[in-house]
Amino acid sequence: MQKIFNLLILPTCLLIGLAGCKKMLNVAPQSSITEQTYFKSEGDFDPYLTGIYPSMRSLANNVTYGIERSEELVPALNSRFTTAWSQILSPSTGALNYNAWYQAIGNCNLLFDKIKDFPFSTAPDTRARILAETYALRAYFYFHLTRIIGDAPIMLQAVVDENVPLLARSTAKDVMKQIFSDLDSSLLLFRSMSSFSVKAYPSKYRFAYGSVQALKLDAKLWSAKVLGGGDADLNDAITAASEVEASGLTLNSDFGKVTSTRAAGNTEVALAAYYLRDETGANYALNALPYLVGGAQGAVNIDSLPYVQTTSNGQGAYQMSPKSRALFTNPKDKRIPYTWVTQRNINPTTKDTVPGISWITKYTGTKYADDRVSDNDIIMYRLADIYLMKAEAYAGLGNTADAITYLNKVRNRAGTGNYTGATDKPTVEKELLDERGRELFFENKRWYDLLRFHSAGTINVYTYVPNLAGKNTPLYWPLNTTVLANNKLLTQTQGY
Amino acid sequence: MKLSLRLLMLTAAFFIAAVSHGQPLSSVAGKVTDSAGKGIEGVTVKVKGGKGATVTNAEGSFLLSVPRPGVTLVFSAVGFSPREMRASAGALNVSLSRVIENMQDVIIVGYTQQSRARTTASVSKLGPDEMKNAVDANPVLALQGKMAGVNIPVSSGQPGASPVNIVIRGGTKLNPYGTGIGNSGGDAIGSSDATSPLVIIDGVFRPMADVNPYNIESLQVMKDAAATAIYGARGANGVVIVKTKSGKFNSRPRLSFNHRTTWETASRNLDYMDATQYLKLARTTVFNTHDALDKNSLLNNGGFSAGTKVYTAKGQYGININLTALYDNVVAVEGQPFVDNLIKNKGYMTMDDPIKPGTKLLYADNHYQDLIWLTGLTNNDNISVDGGSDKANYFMSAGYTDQAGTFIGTNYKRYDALGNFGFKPVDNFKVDLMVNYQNIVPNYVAGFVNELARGTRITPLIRVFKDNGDPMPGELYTVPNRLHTLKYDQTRVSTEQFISRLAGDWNIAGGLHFKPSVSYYAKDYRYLYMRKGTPANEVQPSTQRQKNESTTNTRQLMIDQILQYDFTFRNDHHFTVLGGFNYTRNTGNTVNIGSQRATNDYIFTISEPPNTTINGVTTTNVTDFSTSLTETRSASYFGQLNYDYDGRYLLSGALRYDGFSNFAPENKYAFFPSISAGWNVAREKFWHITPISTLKLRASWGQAGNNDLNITDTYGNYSTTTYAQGTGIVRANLSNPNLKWEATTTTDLGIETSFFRDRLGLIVDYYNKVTSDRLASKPLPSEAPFGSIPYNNGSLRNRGVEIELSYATLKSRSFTWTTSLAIALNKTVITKLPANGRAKNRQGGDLIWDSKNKQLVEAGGYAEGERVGGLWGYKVLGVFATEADAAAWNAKVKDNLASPSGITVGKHAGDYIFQDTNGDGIIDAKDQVFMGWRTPLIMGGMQNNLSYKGFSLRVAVDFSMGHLISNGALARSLGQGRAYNEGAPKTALGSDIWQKEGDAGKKYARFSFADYDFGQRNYLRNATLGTNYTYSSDVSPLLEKGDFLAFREVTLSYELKAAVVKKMHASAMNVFVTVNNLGYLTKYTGQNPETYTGVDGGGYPRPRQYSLGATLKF
Repeated sequence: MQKIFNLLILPTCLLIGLAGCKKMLNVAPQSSITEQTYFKSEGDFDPYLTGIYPSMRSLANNVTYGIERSEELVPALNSRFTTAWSQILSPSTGALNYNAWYQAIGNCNLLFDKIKDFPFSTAPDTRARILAETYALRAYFYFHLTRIIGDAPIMLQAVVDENVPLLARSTAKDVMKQIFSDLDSSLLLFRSMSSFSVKAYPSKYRFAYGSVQALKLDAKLWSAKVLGGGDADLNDAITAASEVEASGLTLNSDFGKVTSTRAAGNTEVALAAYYLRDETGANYALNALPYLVGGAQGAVNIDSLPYVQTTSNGQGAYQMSPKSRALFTNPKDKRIPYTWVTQRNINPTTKDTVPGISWITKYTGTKYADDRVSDNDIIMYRLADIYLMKAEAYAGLGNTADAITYLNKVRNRAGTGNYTGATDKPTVEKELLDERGRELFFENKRWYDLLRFHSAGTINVYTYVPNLAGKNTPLYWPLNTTVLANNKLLTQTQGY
Repeated sequence: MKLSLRLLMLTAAFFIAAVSHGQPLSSVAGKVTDSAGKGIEGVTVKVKGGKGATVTNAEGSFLLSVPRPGVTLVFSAVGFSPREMRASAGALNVSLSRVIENMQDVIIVGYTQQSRARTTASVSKLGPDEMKNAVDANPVLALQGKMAGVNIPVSSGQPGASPVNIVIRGGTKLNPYGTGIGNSGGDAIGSSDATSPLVIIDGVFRPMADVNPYNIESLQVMKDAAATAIYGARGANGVVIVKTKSGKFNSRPRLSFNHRTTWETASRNLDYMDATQYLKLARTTVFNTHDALDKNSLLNNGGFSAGTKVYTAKGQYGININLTALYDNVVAVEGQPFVDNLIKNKGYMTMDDPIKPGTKLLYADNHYQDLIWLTGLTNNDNISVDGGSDKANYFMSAGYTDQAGTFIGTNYKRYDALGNFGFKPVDNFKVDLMVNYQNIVPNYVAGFVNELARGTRITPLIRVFKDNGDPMPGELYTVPNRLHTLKYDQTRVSTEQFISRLAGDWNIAGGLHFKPSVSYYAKDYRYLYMRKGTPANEVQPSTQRQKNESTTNTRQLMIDQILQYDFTFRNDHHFTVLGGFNYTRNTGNTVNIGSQRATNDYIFTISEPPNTTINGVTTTNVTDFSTSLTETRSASYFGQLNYDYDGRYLLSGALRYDGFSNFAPENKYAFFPSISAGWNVAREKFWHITPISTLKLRASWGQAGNNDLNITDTYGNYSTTTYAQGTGIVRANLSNPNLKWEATTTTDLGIETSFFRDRLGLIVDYYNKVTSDRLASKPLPSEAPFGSIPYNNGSLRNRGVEIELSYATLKSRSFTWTTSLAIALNKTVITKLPANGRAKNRQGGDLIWDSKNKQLVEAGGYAEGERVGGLWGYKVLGVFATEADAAAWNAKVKDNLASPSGITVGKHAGDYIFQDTNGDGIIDAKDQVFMGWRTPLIMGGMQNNLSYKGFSLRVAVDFSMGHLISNGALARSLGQGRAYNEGAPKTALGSDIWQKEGDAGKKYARFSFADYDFGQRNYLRNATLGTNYTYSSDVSPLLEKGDFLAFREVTLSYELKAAVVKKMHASAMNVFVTVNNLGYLTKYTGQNPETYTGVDGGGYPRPRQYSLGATLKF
């Protein structure tokens, strides 16, 4: 038997050598960049940072959280709303799984963890810029999330295996603290660069000093009004706004160019999410563009409709709500043609012209040889928005005079002239909300605006938004059962 | 590389052998006949304990040289009891009796061969008869229903399509049947866990789908660990061993021709309305509905195919997508003669507008269904020659198949050649050489959703051809007109495979053999695509003049070395001891290139510049640009021991040490042992129960492994992305270097018995199969950077019983009837999951209301102790007969699952009354109710073979019981999804559906448009614990029992009389006629009851196939 056993072993291992036996199965991955190979050089961090930006783009493009619950939209030929639009949210309907946010945050955390070992001694500016952008991105992700769910777990650890620290929800205030800490780190790092200039926007599609200040302004305003941060936050907001103003942005004289000019060459834009047909396909405006057959065809004013040839490029699902249109009280408002157009049809029996759907004419995309594609850059911060936020901060402090000054900057471009109404705080604040509704319609900010002004008592969102009327749906989203089941420390959002 | 070269050379060295030979002295002639006196062809005649063998010819005659007169000859043939006989002086006439195949078969167990009586393993075997008349190009389909515990889920009628998996004993994964439906490029789409068995064809690991069924001599499936443990690494899902035909030593050359023609016709298609019925239904439905549709756009602005619009210029109507028009308007624009011509010569019709009497509508029926579903014609030809001398044998064959499907433009073409050569240069050394070449040129449907689910449901009122004869693009490129696709989209797909294997068998001394082998398998796949420029006045696709090329080249090198020693100790102790080594290396290289905005439509190849400038922005033309290299290696050491005492007590054991490169170094290797024992009770001296001719009890225990993991699971992966035209890199998954082998431990208890001199055979197996350390992803808390991590995620158990029964019902001189039945029962249960703090450590799932205990409970997902594959849905209590009923309900209940706009509208007559399970006045996910299981509990099949003189009749049926199917195709047609342009089934006007106020007790809710976007989601409603698939419906009336009995095959064949055949200078001729997939006995009303995913979204139904063919032998 022993002999046989020896024979068994002989033709195998002895022949190829014992070393061979061990080495036989060593195969290096040839087409995958692995944990062993990545983050081994200083050159690996810039691409990784670029790799985080698509997460920012996808959040900037998500209208469920930015618009659907506001008053801005109603169905058109189709309907592409989630139940957020009908304000029907419960742990079992329309609840949130926030993993996409933590995936983005996780990428920032990983970068912070890995960059520790790399001094970038020959290129300290590169290191500072990478870190500055990453802090800004993490702040953006947390800010986006806390506006949706309020209290949120703060994950700062780079998770590399199955050991995921279980975190309870930190209060919204603590989340904001983290956001401000990240923003200040970011600003400090930008300032530390030898090439620093307040006016430097190396790319309008990535965070720069000016756009970090814009985000800080936004966050301070939220903190002040929604989380009771008070005058201190409002003053910080004004400071941040001034920094953005100092960064050299100027308003487009023609409102039509605001959303149609690519951000790279758009003097008004501080930050935008990049879109181009061949890189990304369409943005959320896809749902707003009318289609020809069964839609735009037969319209008397077809030439002024932003129609597409096929429903692949335009779903005809959104139109501007009567309530949002009603904000445009001044018929001379130059923004109207770049905000909506009402389709005019012929009544087949009476032959009269009758108004139809009010199509949105902001973000009408690019007309290519074959068809129109909604691939405008999605603007995240632009100067008019900054002016209105600054005005809001002044108004919050009771300084309506300065508030009106900044409001007028926006009105004058729109051709509606200086504000002549009452100058008391509530009236001015209501006017600012309305002006934001006119200026920033369909720019994916309205729900957050409503929440700020609701918290500050300017409006009651439960009566302001038609679909919320008569409901008591909480203003933050519920977490879905998957999120709750996988982390016992979590509690459901208040009110659900 | 160096290493494998060394291995190769060493192996080759063993092909040199020692010399020894014998000398024939005398010869014996004779004839072997069956009980009816008919000569049996192919009987092996061997000298017992010596050298020399031959095979009988077509008449059953043989001539054999023997060392000396009076030796004992052994006669053996498949399907007959072997017999020994002393050679006498004169002609030797031997009669063999037919037996039930199972008992006497030679079985391959691991690397050895055993007789069925001596094996301790659970093995099912198919003989060549089962493959003989296979009508599908893919031999896997012929296995359906023939072996207990071997399930072949076929969901597509696409020629050449493969089942998602060959599922043996429930597989080892949670989702063996997948969630996909239909196929893409011949592969099933949708997520499924790979749980197919290891397929070994002539000693080479390779897929079975493209093997020519004509070449298959035998096929066996090994189910328990006694048989699979020796394959360690890949044996967990069972092992299929296919042997192709080979020549026999000392046999006359034989030439065979085989031809078959098959006609395929569509079966079980959804019955759609014609244009007249549809136009009435569609217009009245939109006109009357409460849904917040833009009725004016739809009805009067050409918003859907039954809508009109006002034409203002000549020629507009002829290119409009919708055929419906206002008669007077078209007359006014195009002139009366134009319209008269349409009606007189082109089949156009008119009707009074059902919603506006007095207005005349002009329309036509596109007869689209008749254009896209055709009779497919298949031609299949095979030619083979085989024979052998005493030193060599050969089998060579060439085959050609061209199978056209029932869906226009689909087919599968294959050219193949096979050579099996055996050389015996000296008596103690044998070399086998196998070479196999295949070229597969298929035309597959590109994808399920667009091409099959949507593209086949175009309404009868959508224009398919323009007036100039060119096809219209269809409503959308995602709802394409198949005829447009065929004209402008061209694909050229080809796969070439070359497999070669050289194997030696050196009989070193006595029973000691050394069997080295080396094989090389090369596969080159190439896909070319060209989308030609489409007319400028049409809707354009998202990428224009797109071209793609992708090539995948894979290579597999396999080296085996086996040392085997057979010996007998004190006469009755029989041993086989075997040790061996296997090394397998798989490499792959993929190149994908795609480009758009081509400059011409003449060539498939890309010659465009990479960039172009559009609207001042430099834009890339490149749509696909990637290459990849992959390599995996495995090395295995194994040993096997078979022992029996006098054929009564059997004992086997195997041990395998397996290594695989995708695991981290410390986890690369694992041990897989097995042990099995058997007792042939009927061979005991005390056994006196004559009717029971054999009785064997066997038991086995063992482990086999699974290494189904990607190298990125172990080491992680960073993938590239693009942002603002810059390239980014981002982590793509969490890695887990601690992953170890998944192991499947099987315990099998079996009884094999036969009665009445083997006329009745019965094999019963009970098994318990536990798969532990499952290689599957484990969900992580949502605060993690990824939703899950690759993990050794707990255990699952498959437990079941299998019964194979065979019976020679009638046996007379000229008439025989044999029947065999296979039944299997299997249940899959999760037994263990990593602790996660939840009850039963559940992963996934949702909260639903438990009516019994009046509380919210977790259900669904995967949980310890729960069966896998549950299906939850929304229970329907009925259909609102009247508006008053609906209003009363609206006052009490809100349906949060209706569309946002439908919630505002509320319920109306004709809508479903959903059960508010928890009584909270809200219909939501908590109201889900358990409906049943997606996967069947019992499956099986039955084959009957009747023969009378030269005629034989074969009837094969198979069945499945216990599975539930969502009739998604019907749901989609009745609710029309998000669209308005899907044809309506005749059900929409049937007696089961609500049509008008007061219709009480109906099964189906009202027919509606845009049910998902504007409606109540009566049909397009997905449950979180249901099929949760867009093309299914988790609503109780649409969930039907799938139990079926399929009439799989009826074949009548006739063996021409020898005298007739002689006149043709041939030796034998057989003609046959076959019908496959005749139909089902089932209550299921949808297209495909053979759906084990819970979803029948329609698609490409299996065709009914009629074949005529003949085999001629010379």
